[in-house]
Amino acid sequence: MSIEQDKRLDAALAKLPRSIEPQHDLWPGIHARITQPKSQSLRHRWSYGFAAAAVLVVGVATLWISLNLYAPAPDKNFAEVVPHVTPTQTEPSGLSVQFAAQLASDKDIPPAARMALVDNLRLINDAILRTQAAVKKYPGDVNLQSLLLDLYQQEAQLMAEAQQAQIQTNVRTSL
Amino acid sequence: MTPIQAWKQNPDEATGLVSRAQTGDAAAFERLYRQHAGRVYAVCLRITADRPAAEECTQDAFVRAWGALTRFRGESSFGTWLTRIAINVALRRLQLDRRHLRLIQPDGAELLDSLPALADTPEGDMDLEQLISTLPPAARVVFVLHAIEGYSHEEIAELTGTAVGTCKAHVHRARQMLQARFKT
Repeated sequence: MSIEQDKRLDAALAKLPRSIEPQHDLWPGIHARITQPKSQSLRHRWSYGFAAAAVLVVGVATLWISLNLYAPAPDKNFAEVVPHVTPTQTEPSGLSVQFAAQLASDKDIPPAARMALVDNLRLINDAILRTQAAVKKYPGDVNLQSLLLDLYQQEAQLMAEAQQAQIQTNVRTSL
Repeated sequence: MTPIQAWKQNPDEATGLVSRAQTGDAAAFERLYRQHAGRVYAVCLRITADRPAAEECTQDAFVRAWGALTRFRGESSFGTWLTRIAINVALRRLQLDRRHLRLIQPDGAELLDSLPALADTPEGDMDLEQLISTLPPAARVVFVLHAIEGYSHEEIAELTGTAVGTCKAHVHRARQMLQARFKT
């Protein structure tokens, strides 16, 4: 690279125009975009707001429900109802214990279905107890907290389904 | 400073176009567009090396500028501020473009190895502008910003997210290539 070549290139670069007119007038497109109705963008903002609010409400509701549903039960231990639960459990899940007891004594539900429901409830409850212990040990672990919340939801769903089965059975029995 | 001196330094601010546009005056903004469109389009065209892309980037730059006008405090001239927006828009466009996914590379060495493609280009009657457009994207961006727009290597490194040394290497290699091809 010689100095002469360098100078020649610099001279040519200096001559390049600083401004090049676009082949089309771009203003109409720009004007259309900057003057689009405010209501449209406002509507978008509102929809984002509503979506965010909905997510917040669902999240808070889930948390509130899980905290209230699974407060420690003062009376019975899950192990008293379902003897298969491992002795490592630390906190019984009150509502599900009561529900399992009720389910176990409900003679209207066929024995096989009753056993399957109680077994599933026991498994989920066992998982909850273990996860609760893990959360206590690692309180900052977001994955564990998420897993616990998921288990609570599974347990609630199972109880709802069992309750539905009880209702259907009772209706059939009364008919 | 006399009014004429003020107008020479910042004609847009001196004529009140910017402050009028800041209050939502689209007609004032159109006048700003008429004054600066060529400058913005030139930088977009040189970065993207593609006319339709440059037109889109020019439009995007003005739309973004309109949205950010209230944040313009006059610390630099309106033209400088607008050009900076246009550069960011064009760089973003290049990064998004699949053909140029590897525009910003952490190490310039890899790019330098990929340059020989230019050697196969028939240079015949190519002028300097065309030669620049045939440079590989990363080298072209850095060269245009440094040699034409006058940005320092440090500023370019900040804009493109590359190391200062890489910018220097791009400019050096681009100059070598252009000198080898540039006859007049």
